[in-house]
Amino acid sequence: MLRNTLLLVMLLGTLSSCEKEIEYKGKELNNFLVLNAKLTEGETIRIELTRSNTIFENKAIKTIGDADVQLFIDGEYVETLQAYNFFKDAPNYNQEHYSGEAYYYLYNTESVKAGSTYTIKIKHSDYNDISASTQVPSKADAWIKNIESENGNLNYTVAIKDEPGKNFYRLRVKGCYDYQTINGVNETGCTYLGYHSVSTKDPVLSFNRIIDEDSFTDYPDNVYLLFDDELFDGETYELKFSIRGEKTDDADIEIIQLDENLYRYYNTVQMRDYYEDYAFSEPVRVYSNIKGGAGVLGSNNSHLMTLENHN
Amino acid sequence: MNKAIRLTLLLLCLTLYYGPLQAQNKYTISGYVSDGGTGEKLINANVYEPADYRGSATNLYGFYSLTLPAGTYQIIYSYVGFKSQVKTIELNADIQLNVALEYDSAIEEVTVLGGAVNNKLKDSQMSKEILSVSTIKRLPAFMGEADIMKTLQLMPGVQSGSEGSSGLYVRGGGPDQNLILLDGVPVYNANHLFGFFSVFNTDAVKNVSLYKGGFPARFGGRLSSVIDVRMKEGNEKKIHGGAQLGLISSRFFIEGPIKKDKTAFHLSARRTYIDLLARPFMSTEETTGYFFYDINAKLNHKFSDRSRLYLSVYTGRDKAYNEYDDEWEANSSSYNDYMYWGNLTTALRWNYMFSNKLFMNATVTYSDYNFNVDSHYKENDQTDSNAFIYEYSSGIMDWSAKVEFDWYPTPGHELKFGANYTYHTFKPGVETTKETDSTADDIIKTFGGNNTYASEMNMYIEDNFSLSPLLKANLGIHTSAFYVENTWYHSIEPRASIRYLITDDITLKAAYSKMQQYLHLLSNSTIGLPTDLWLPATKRIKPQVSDQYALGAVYDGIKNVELSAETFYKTMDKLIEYKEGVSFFGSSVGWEDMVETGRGEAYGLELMLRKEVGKTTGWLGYTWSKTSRQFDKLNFGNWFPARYDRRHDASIVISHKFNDRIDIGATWVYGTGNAITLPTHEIRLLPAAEHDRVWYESNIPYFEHRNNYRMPDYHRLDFGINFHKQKKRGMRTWNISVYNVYNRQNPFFLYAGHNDEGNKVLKQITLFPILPSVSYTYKF
Repeated sequence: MLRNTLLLVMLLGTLSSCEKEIEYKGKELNNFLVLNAKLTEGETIRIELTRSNTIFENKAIKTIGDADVQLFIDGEYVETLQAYNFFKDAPNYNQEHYSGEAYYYLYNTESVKAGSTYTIKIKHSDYNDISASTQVPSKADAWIKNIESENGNLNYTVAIKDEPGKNFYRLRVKGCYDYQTINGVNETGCTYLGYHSVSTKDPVLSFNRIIDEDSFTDYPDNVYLLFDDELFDGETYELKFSIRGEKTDDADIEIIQLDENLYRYYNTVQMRDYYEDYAFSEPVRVYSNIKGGAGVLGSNNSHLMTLENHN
Repeated sequence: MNKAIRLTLLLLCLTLYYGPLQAQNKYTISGYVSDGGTGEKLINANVYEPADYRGSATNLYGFYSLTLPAGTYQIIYSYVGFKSQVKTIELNADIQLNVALEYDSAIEEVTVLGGAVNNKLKDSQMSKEILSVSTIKRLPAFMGEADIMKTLQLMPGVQSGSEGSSGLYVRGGGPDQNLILLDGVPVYNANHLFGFFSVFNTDAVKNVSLYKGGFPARFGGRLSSVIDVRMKEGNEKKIHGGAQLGLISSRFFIEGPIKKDKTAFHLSARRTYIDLLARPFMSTEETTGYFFYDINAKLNHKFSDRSRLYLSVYTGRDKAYNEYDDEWEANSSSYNDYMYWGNLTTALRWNYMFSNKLFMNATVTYSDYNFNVDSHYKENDQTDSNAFIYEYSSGIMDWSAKVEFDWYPTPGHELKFGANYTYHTFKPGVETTKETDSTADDIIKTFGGNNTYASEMNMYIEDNFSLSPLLKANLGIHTSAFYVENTWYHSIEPRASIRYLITDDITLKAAYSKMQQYLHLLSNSTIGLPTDLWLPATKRIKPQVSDQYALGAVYDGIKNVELSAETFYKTMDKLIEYKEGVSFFGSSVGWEDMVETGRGEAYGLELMLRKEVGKTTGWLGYTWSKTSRQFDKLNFGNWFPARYDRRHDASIVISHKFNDRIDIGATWVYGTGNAITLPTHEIRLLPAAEHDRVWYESNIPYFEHRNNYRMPDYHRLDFGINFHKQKKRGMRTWNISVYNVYNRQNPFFLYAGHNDEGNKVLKQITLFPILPSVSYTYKF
């Protein structure tokens, strides 16, 4: 209300304003490489390499398939990764997102291991070299301590035994529902629940702040349900949250331990999304750990806790 | 730093000890210097004994004190624009002598009148500019409104925020770091209409002083500047008045004696009327409007030559509204939205002359700034009625008591000392909603925090003294303490200004000031929105501090022309900035979580060539400066340019009086474009499936660092002409002003968009094209 009134009055005051096209006079704009990869213990390494567009390029972002992509594990050179054509694997993918061809780089000789440090170094004749590293976190020591049903919601208490030092986590909840199709067939569908379906007053899920429901705050939603161990470093913490479980027959609780790169990346992405349309906010720069370029090389380790029918 | 404090204290003690020994067999002449036509006290008038180059100047209240050995003297009382008076005085006892200077209409070339005089060459003070109201009024006015703050923006070292804004950025400081005083009372929001106008009505203002550095010890509480605005006291001799009709506003003032030479008053007011002019063009169901008004009032009473009481009041308010009412058959509905904000300041001041060497000013002040939003929705039908009310309010209120002394113990020493106590009430954003329904109970909800209370205290002592005819210094100590939320903060702030006369017309100056500021301003913009919220330092958020060093020179060798150059270096710490992405709309709840603290640095060179006397007056100002910020958690910890960092800033200000009937004024300003954060690339995110971000674009804008791009340079020419005519009962003046004469499309906002061909391009929004205005003034 306040914001709208303010903007309305400002708009009235600037009716006499005019708009024109101007020449860009800043630093020379050179395209650079953008590396995006999330490494997960037990899975293969898959890297997406694209090129940035300048703000004046009116075309889809180009993927790069002819780069020299070298993988190092714990400092030792392992191999040069091969590019695969994306559309061969997924021919029905919406090709509007890519200009022409799309590639990804794969390392499937062995799966990602916790504790190992993975380094990617990329060279390309048209762009600056880029590099990045990530150390894969270990699996979080977590267990479901309690579940209660209350007013159609499921109240969870999940215990997390935190290792000393900085650790970063993410909560994901997958719920399965029975539903009837248009044809009257009963089916069950499982999906990750959005943050709106998970309610909590737990401070660690509110950026370590005590949330007073009666107070007005203007702070980004924790869309990714991220949290760190600032409040429970080296201790066992009982995380409390509820999901709307009235129709939930099964729910999988996933406590994902993230490396700091991925945590900061997700956090800045959700802040950027939240503030994107705010007229007066400073723009958010999404975190990157790619030297010489942009994007993220992060890693995580999922601890999945499956529940059988709670009823 | 401790060494500097010890040295300052030692020098103060030595000079005080040395003083009384020299005071034997000497006598003092003291009194007030005033304008003979109106009785207004003259600030900074010179009182001078030419034989031995000894002299003094009147203080803020027109008081002077000059101690000399017994003898016969010719004492010269002078003030620019007034006939000097020479008094022959046989000094064999202390005497009190009030002098009324007469306006000198015979000296045609003297065209800067009615204000104070810069005396940069002789004064130990540096980084100070004085503006007379007549100078301000002679310059072109935006929409016909002469504006103090916009004239101050034309001074070297002072920058404006964005187009049209009256905000000030002084030597790399933010808008929250300016102490704006109206008759000694802090004004927390000095803007009307989102910064396009300032709250100061020039009809009510007597004198404006700006301190950019070398702060005397009597000032404190802000890091970057002091803007000391003094209101007129009221004509003690006869009734005067005037009125002005402008395109968007009108104003009037009246002043005069209630009891001649004893009690006088001044009353002035102005109001904009865009809302009234637009009303006939609006539908009967819906009305939208905006206006602001100001009222200044001052009363002063002289009990005796020693004792005088002043009461000054300012109140001003902006109001924006939208009202909608509709009725059909037996139903009705209404939506009414109101947004209003403003200041109320009051000062009750008592001047008392204890002796011819000791002058006291005791003041009690009150300052209140409030911002409110009311939104009312009502609907009635045959069976039911319901309503929704939303209210928001925030602000800051101060009660303050201050006592200050001016003491002239010996020739060449002017001591000022005093103490101040301020009780702050911070009113955070509080929102209330009320839902009423004829079929149910009312639902009332309140969001927001309780008031925060804080006490701020300070004491100071400074001595403006001559070590030799060539060397003069102002040394002082300002101490302060602040109590909030069971936490104490305190500071000891040494201040020093030194002037050395190299030749009769060249002076070298140096200054150092340490400043501490206990208030923070939560603001999202450079345009001074009314939602900006003042908050105290807290346990977590420490007070802001700065150290400023300045070095300068003044050359006075060309007749009526003064050339000055100053360099400065300023460091600031505990500054606050919003975390990346965070925005603010008037609520203080959780504000400490939304800000980062960091540091800043500013340095620069200021050049000024000023001519204050003659048919043609004005100045040329140029500033080269660099201002940057560093926050551990912003911009990945790297330094970045402050958004008001401006490498080059220049102004040319000229007014010329052709004759008594016509004068003109012109200003031209140039500034490097503001630093903004402009995305230069677009990059791909992790695939959506990797992080449940399916509802958003998979590509996002990218920028290298905060404030990575410069907007196009800003420049603008304004022109104004005044036609005066003496009428039977007074003087009428037509003013024609043109803002942005050559219609320069200056940048207000940039963004990447598409042109008509569908290509991606950079686009610029311009706020004000060429804007002519006209006003009519009649004064009697």
